[in-house]
Amino acid sequence: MATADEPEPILRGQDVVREYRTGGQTVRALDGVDFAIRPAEFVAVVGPSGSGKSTLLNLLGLLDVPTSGRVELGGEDVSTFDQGRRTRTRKRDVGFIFQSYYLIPTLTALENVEVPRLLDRTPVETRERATELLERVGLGDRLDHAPDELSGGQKQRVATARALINDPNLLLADEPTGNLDRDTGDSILDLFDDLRTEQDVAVVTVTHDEYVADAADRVVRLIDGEVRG
Amino acid sequence: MRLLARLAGYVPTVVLARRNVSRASARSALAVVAVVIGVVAVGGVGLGGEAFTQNQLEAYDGFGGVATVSQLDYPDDGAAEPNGELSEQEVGRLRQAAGSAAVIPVVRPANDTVRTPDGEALFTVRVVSMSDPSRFYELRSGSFPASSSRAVVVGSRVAENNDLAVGDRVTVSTDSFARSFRVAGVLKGQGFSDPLSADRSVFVPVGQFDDPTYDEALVQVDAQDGSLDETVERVETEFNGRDRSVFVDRVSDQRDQRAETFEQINLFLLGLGAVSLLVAAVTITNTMLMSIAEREGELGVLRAVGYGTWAVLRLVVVEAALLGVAGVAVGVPLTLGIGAAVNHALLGDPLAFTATGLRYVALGAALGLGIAVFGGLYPAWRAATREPVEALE
Repeated sequence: MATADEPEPILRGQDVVREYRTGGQTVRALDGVDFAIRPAEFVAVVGPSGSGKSTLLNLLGLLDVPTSGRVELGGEDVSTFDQGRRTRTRKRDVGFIFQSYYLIPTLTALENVEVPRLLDRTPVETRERATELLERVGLGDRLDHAPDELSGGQKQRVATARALINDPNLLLADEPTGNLDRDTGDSILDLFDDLRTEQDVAVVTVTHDEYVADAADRVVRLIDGEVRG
Repeated sequence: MRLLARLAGYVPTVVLARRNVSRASARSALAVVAVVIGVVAVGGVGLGGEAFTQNQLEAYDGFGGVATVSQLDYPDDGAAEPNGELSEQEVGRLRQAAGSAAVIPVVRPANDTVRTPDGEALFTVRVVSMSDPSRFYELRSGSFPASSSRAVVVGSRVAENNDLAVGDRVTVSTDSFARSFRVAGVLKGQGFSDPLSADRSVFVPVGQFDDPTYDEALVQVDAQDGSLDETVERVETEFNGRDRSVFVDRVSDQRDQRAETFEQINLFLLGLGAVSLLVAAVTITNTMLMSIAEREGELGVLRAVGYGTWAVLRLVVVEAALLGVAGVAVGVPLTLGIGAAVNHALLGDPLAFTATGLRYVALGAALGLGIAVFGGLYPAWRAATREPVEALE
């Protein structure tokens, strides 16, 4: 429950269970997890492979709904949302940074950042915002480069800028520093800090990197679909 | 922002789709080629068939306002056949009934053979005799002989197949004579629809027959003098009272029947052409399925960052449509080029396109675009309904 110094969570989960059926077997990826993500919070989710980290991230990003339990967004159970509403909510509230970036190879860095807002038909505003974001992540001189002309760190930063174009409340990052050298990783973490202090953006990251976990406000340790410690 | 880029910003789906199509250029090019083949098949068959029809029907041009009249024969089994003979007296009656219309009796002698001076018989050549063939035919070379002269005019095929030219000699034998003739003229080609099969005929002057019996008569009405229908009516009244004794056949009816036959053949060929469009649809579907399989992750990201199922569906359908547009853009000029070549060869005028022919080209274009969209629907549906979680795995 919210207290005076603890703002209302953006997203809350209660006894969240997610099961998959594969090859006739039911696999329980998350086994009764509770969570609450508050504005400006930096949460690191750690755990071994197969512990349910990605499943949790998908649920947080409304890409998936729980088998049982509740995931609430602004007090509403997201499992009652139809697909269209989940899509619109994702667009409005959530920014994704995928581990393998998934940049579109035929688009320039700038256009890739614009992708989530392309269908809004506000090309001028979108372009200004995308340019501003790329400058902010230090790629102001790479606007017209195709993804295959960018280094891993640069692609990561393009993906980060893309995640921010709709001004999300919640930024979900899968291994955001995974392929980066320490300096580049630091610059990404600095960016997360800026977003949190300036815009109250909550950041949830799945990571194997203890360095990232150390920078987080809170570390959620998942083992076999359960939160430990 | 430059104006073009700014405009493009308002059709984002088309921009995204165009970039995607250009990604696997060889594969896209092959899909476009499939559409081009389909468009050319339908449009080309349409145009070519039209040109061929025009070419064949040109043979009827000289026969406006003409009907053929032949005596009906009643063999033992009772069914009337137009293979009797018209006597001189009947031709007289016909002239009277026809009034101001010209009546041109035609002799097709039995047991006719035409030989070269070496004695070699010309195959599939018929002997015909009528006054004034110049009424219906033009000469390629030479001139029409006087009706009493010992000279013939030969059809174009007769001349070509047997190397006959003006000045050569042929021997014509029939039941009533066997004489040597000088070739005075060669007719222009008429095509196989010609009512008198002039291409394969040797025209002997009527004066060569002492006592001709006529196999049929042509009645020609000059459009300024009266109507063919009225003349036919009078002939029918005169000859076909209680018993039907002559068969009157308007050449325009024959022409219409021919035209109808050509149209049916054309439709059949169009059907075959349309099959190639079906193949193009399958190619488009295959291309798009490969395309969406390759960029499953990207499409998953689009869904994740807020593209709805309709947006993804539209994107993939627009990609398929762009392949169709490219196919039509190449196919239509190519079809018109082929049509112009066929027109030039058959009609002597590259631009002799008919409205019907151009409609076939439009049909080919519309079908080409339509099948591209149709072919893209299933891949688009697959891409749009894929759960983003699965796509991103």
